[in-house]
This record gives sequence, structure tokens and C-alpha cells, in this order.
Amino acid sequence: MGVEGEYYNGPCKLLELPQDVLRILFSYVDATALFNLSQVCNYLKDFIEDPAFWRYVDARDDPNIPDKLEYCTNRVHDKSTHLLLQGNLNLYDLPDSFFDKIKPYENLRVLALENLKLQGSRVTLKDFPSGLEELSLRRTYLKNSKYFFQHSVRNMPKLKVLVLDECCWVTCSFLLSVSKYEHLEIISIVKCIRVHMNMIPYLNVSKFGCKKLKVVDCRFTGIGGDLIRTFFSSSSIQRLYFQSFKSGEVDYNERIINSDGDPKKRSPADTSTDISISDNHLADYASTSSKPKNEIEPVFDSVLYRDPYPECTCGADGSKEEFGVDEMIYCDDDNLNIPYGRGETKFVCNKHMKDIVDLPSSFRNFFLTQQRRFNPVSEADEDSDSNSEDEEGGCCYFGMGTKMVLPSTHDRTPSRTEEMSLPGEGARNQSPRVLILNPLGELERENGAINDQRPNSSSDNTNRERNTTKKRHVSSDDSDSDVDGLERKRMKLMSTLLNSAENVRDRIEKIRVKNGMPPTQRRSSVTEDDPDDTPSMPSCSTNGSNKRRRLEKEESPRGAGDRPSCSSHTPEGGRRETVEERPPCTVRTADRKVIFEVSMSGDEECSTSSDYSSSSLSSGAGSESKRAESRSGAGSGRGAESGKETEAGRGAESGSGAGSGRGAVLGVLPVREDGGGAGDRSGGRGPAGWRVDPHNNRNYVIFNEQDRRRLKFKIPLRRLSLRGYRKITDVTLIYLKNIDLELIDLTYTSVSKQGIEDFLVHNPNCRVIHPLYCTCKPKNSLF
Amino acid sequence: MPNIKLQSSDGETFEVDVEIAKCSVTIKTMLEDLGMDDEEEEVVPLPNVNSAILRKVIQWATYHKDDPPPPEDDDNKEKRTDDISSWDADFLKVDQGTLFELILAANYLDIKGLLDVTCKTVANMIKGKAPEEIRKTFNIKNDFTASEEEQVRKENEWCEEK
Repeated sequence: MGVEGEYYNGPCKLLELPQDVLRILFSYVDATALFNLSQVCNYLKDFIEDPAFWRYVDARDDPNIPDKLEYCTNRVHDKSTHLLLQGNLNLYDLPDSFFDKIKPYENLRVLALENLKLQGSRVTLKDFPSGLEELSLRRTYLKNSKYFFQHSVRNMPKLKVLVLDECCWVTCSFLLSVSKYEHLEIISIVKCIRVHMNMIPYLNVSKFGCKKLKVVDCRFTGIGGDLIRTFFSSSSIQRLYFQSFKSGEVDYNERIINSDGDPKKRSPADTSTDISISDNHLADYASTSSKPKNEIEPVFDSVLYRDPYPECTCGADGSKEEFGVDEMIYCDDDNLNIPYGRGETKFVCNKHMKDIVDLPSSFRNFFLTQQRRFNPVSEADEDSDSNSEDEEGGCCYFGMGTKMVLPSTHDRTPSRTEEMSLPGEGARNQSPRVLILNPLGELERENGAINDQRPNSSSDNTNRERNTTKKRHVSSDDSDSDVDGLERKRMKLMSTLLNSAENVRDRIEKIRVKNGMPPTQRRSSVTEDDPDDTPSMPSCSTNGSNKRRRLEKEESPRGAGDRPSCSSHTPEGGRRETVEERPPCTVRTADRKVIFEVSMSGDEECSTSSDYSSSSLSSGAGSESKRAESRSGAGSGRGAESGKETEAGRGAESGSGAGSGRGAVLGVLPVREDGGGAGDRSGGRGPAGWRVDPHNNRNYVIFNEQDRRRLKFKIPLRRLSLRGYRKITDVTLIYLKNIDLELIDLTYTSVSKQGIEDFLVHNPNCRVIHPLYCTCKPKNSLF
Repeated sequence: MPNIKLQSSDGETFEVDVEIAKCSVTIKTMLEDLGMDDEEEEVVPLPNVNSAILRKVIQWATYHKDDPPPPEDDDNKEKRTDDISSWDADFLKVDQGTLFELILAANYLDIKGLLDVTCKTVANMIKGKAPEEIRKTFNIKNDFTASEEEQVRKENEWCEEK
């Protein structure tokens, strides 16, 4: 005679309850249960007719049989406020008479018609009750949807929430009609796979509407990073949720797109080629700051839309120390051709896994977070690449890393002659000081180190990689061929590099914060570290300058010798060319010119790092000769490297050539370019007032004090999900640091722990969703 | 702390803290209307509640004495039934007779928190069950005749007037 499980044999107590108690009791059961109760006995059947039970009608529970829907719909009355129905797509068409019935019910505020079939030829939004504040058509299929949204705004002026999750019939144009809804606050188009990049023009038009839009949930859509730009200037958006398809498949263990089935469910890859989100899409946010909390209107408390990030339930408090191998799930943007879910280790093959697992945990951690910065699609050949390599890579994620070609520079690499014909020093004396932060450098280094362990694998390296390896071999032969010794050195090297990167980053941050300080002083403090003498605390910037000095010697025809010493930190090469190319007005100059180059994927890092590696690996007296040897041994690859070097230098130049004093150049942030053709697209397309170098492959955004003040947008963004977009790196976190985010999902992105820690310094209260922090999965009603 | 004596229908007397007793709006109103004299030994008779149930009610009220007052009902809001605290869930692991007695007592004593949580418990017993299962769970006799069942079906047919 227990309460649950067993059947009850005593006298029926339920029906003995006074009616007012029964009324309270039944107020707790949903419409599905009421429907079932109505079939229990006559007494209950009559009792349940009471209209009080049919004000809030939530009949979404199974079983969703036509009988139930009909029963519930028939009981809805003009005082009803909520009607939530769910059908069974295959069994049931919602009859047209349904709308005839509910249309007059003006008190109806919330309507959900989920998993149903509608006839768009007969039903449009104009047939919906006019008092609706929330409407969900989740998973509903609409035939002939062409005119569904048109001219509906006058019909439903109060609409606040529109949920269209998993509606494959929704196309971008819906936004035009929807944007006219004055009070619309929440749009959820999760898994609307026909909403893709074509949405941008619609958005650009429609952003004159949507004045109150606060939440845009476009996870698993074809919408990519450009949407972020479109929303950037919005003074209302508080929550933006993106998630890549593949990460969803990992999260929910289910294919997001079912290609077999409805032919209309095309893969987003068919409809759009670029739906990824990368750092440069978020560059706009670097010039923003948050609105104070009290200026932000709270988000409407919706019945139908549930935020995917409720309170944390994983109990993460602070950072988790270990990065378990089990957690090495790599997700990829969909346009990257990485086979998904390869075996047990996902993207990591056994060979590489071994390398990773052998590392001490801190390095492993570092490695895992850093390594993911490789961009595996960039097949573009470098100018001077011999292409002689047979790229056997592709065994796994890390394998692909080794054959990776970094962003192509072939479109604008100046030829050697071009460089040599550059005019004289000119503005060189006023050249800005350049600090170079190369978070990617470590990556290259580590990669090289791994290669040492696997000498055979050098064949799947690119030229640059091969150079690194060769250099390594030279040095290791010289110093100690013992593998253990090499391993020790590798570890030491890695820790050194790790330190150095963090160091420089810290310093740059400090300088950036107090950018009023005379940069010279700062600069010198950085330069103090001599990498050759104190390998424990080298600085990337010094490496860079060393590297460049060496380069100067090597390429003396370029007249590096005449350069004033202060400019030795600046890259040679393309500066003058840059000045020539660029209309002068695009370049600001400075009394104090500080250019921070926070480059994530550039080329000079590689060379810098390889140089550094070689110099630190080689010991004592032999180091010079070895360096020379490594340089010469590099052969043609070396040539390519120097070409890239200058290219990179020129990039920095675009800011620095900034030359002659019209305002302090505060920073140059490279907008990372990820693939070949992408360069043109983002070139010159920076946020208003920013200058993007369209010629340089790695677009640089230059901004100065004035711009910054002018561009100090106040935006209310509080929650942002970038889950699964691997092109999101620490640079994004730097961009976002002025925004007072309360939640950011960085799972399956390429951010490093250090990057998050730095970000948390600025936003200590931000909840970070990341394997090392909060591991809550976004809630999703679709799975 | 002043105490108050509550007498159950079967004559047993329980001495409880006044504040705890005031969980019950019925008792609270009574005390306020009558005026409370600390000196006098007053016994409040509760003729509708037997001692076993009253003991349970006092146990519940003692545990929940510091709870904030429950929010006002809003007919236009979804009423959740999955938010029963684990203590309450344990507390309500009783046979069905006791459960319904508790509902009645909570209703009589006007203890909203207890009424809510007991009703939720019963609602959870109803939810997700087919009509036949509901009948078995609560021992309800099916008094539909075959023709009536047919009638029900007809009534539910689409868009006939209700």
C-alpha cells in the first residue's frame, strides 16, 4: 500500500476530497494528465470541465495523440492565457479550424504549436491570436511557408518571444518581417539550418528594427561570425549563443543534420561555405565596454524559451588542474575537413597521443590548448614553398598540425627584388617600437620538439617545419644525441618558452593598461632579457629582434646596416613599401608610438621560435656556428621564411609606418586570417573607424587614442557562447575583456588556460564554460 | 517562548511553540481573534485532525518554521511539481490514506506549504499515467458504460462545441 508503484486497494480517498482541495490538487497537473483524468470516471470528467483548469494549458507531454489535442483545444476558452500543444509530426495535421477557434481569444498570450504540420497556404501568422507575446513553432513543419511571416506585425504587435527551433523551412528572409516586431526580445532559431550567411543583408536591413532584441540563440545554424559583426553595434543584445554543429554532435551524441530524410534539410556546407567564427569577427568588441548593470533591462522571463545555461550544476569551483586525456574531444568548424570522431581518441591518433600523454601534465595541458591553433584547411601554398613534400599527415588532428601550412601569404608577399628596391630609411627614425607576442610560437616549438621524437615524421612537415627539425637535428647532434638528454632539454625549453610567452603577455597587458607611460622605458625593460644568456626568462620580443638582426646580416643587400639602432626591433622589409602603398591618411603616427602586435598565427613566430630553439639548444661556444649552419642548411625554405618575415614585418609596419605624428597609435591588433581566400573578405571590413590592412594577409587593425574614445561603445552583452569554434583563440578574450560578461562558453575553442586566466582578471565574475572550468552542457530541448 | 496546547480529535494534547503553531493560518487567526493570554492554559481543540496526523503536521511545521511564506498563486503560471525538497519527499513517504489525511488536515488548518507539497505529491502520482493506471492507483471505479465511452470520444471530436 505504498504511495508509488503498488496499486491501492483501500477506499478511494481521491474522490472524497472536497472540491476546493481537488481543485488545488488538479491545478498541479498538466493538460495531458487532465485529459487522462477525464477518462477515468464520470465524476472527474465533469469536474475537469471547469474552465479554471483550462487557463494554462500545457499539453506537451506524451502521448501526443490527436484525441488529446482535440480535447484540449476544445476546452480552451477566451480566458485562457497559455496554450502549449505538441503533436506528432507524422501522425497529425493541425486542422485549419484550429485557428478559426483560437483566433478570437485575445487573452491568449503564449502559444506553442510544436512538432505539428501546418499548411502555409492556408495559415499565416495573421491567423494567430493577436494578443500573443510568445510563440513557439519548434520543430513544426510548414508547407508553403513563403508568405507565413509577411505582414504579420500588425496582427501580433505584442510579440516578445519567437522560438523557431529546428524549423527547417525558416529561411533568412523571415527576419525582415520579424524585425518589425517592436517588442521582440528573444529569437531562438536553434538548428534552423536554412538560416545561414545569406542572413547578413537581411540583418543589415532589419537591424533598424529589433530595437529591443536581447537574446539571439542561433546555435547550430549556418550563421557564422559575420553575424556577430552585424549585431555588434546593437545596444540591446545581451545574450548571443553560437555553437558549431560538430560540437553539438559531441555534446549530445547525436547527428545534428540528418542528411538522409527531408531533402530540404541540406547540409549547411551546401548552403554556405563559411560559417565559422574566428577572432577577427570579435575584433569589434575590443573597443567596447559594458553598460553599467542598472542600465540593462532584465531579459523577459519566457515560458517557451529556456536559456541554455541555467545555474551551474557541475559544481565547478575555479579551475580544474588536470586535463584528462578523456576530455580531449576536438570539435571542428564544419567547413574544416577533419573527419569527425575518428575512433576512440577522436582526433588524436595513437602515435600522437603517446607523445602527448608522456608529457608532464602542465605541458600536456599547454600543448593541448595550444596545439589546436593550427588551421588544417589552409592548403594554400606558400610562394617559395617547393611543394616537394609528400604530405602524408592527416593521421589525426596533431598529425595534420605538422603538415599544416600557416595562412597563405602568397597574394602579397613582396618579391625579393621588390624589397631591395625599397626607398631609403625615411621615416625610419620615428619608427615605432614593436613588441611581439607570439602565443603561437610555443606551438611551433613544441611541435618541433615532438618531431624530434619521431625523426621519420619529418617528411610530413612543411618546409618551415622541416627547417625546424633540421635545425634541431643539427643541434642535437652537436650537443647530445642521447634521447633522454634531448628530452630533458626539450622539457626545459618548453618551460622556458612557456614562461617567456606568459611573461611577455603580462608585460604587454601592463603596458596596454598604462598606455600613457613612455613606451621606451617599458620597452627597455623588456629588452633586458638576453635570450642567449638567460634562457629561463627570454622574451619573445627580444627573440624577434634578435632574429631580425640576424636577418639583417643575412640580407644585407636590403641595406639594413644604415638603420638606427632603435629601429632594430622593427622588422625590415616592407615598411617603406607599406608607406607607399597606403594612403597616408590611413596611417596615424605618434609621438609615442607603441605598437602591440598580438599575433596568433603569423609567420615570424615560427622563424623566431625556431631560431630561438636552435640557439638555446646549442650550447656555449658552438652556438654561433650552429646558428649559421642551421640558417644555411635551411636552404630554400629559409628563403621562404625570410620572405614571410618581411611580410610579417610589413604587417606590423602598417601600423608603425604610421610614421609621423598625428596621434598616438595605441595598438595594432592583427585580425587573424585563417584561410586563403578569406583575406579579401575581411580586408577593409573592420569596425567603423578602424583600419584594416587589406593588403596584408594578416589583417591588422590599427586604432589610436582618438578612435578608441570615439568608439567606446557601451554594449549590454552579458552572455556569449562560442562553443565549438576552434578558430576562437586567446585574442578573442583580449577583445572581450572590456565587456562585463557574466557567462562565456569557450568549450572546444582554442583558448588557452592562460588566456582564460588573463580574461578572468578583468572579469572575475564571469562564468567560463570550458573543460577546465564549468563543464555544464548547454541545455537543449531538441535532444 | 510561549507554548500552546493543541488537542487532536482523539483527545491527545500536543504542546508546541506558538510560532510553529502559527504556520497554520487557522490557528493564527483564531489566536489573533481571541487574544492570547500567556498566563492562561489554553487548549485549542482540533476536532478534524487525529493524533497521528497532528503529530506529522507538527513535525512538518517544526522543520519548516523558518521558511519564507510561500508565494501567491498565479493561475497563469506553470505550476511545477518537481521542486519537492528531499526532506519533504521523505516525510511524505507514507501510505496513501495518511497522505490524503495530511492533505485534508493541511486544508483544514490552512497550512499552504504543506497543502502544496502534498498536492504536488499526489499530482506526481497522476502525471504520466493512462486512465486505467490512474484508476488502479487511486482505486477508482470505472463507471463509464460502453456507450458513455463512445460519447466521450464523440465529444472530443474536433471542434464540436464543448
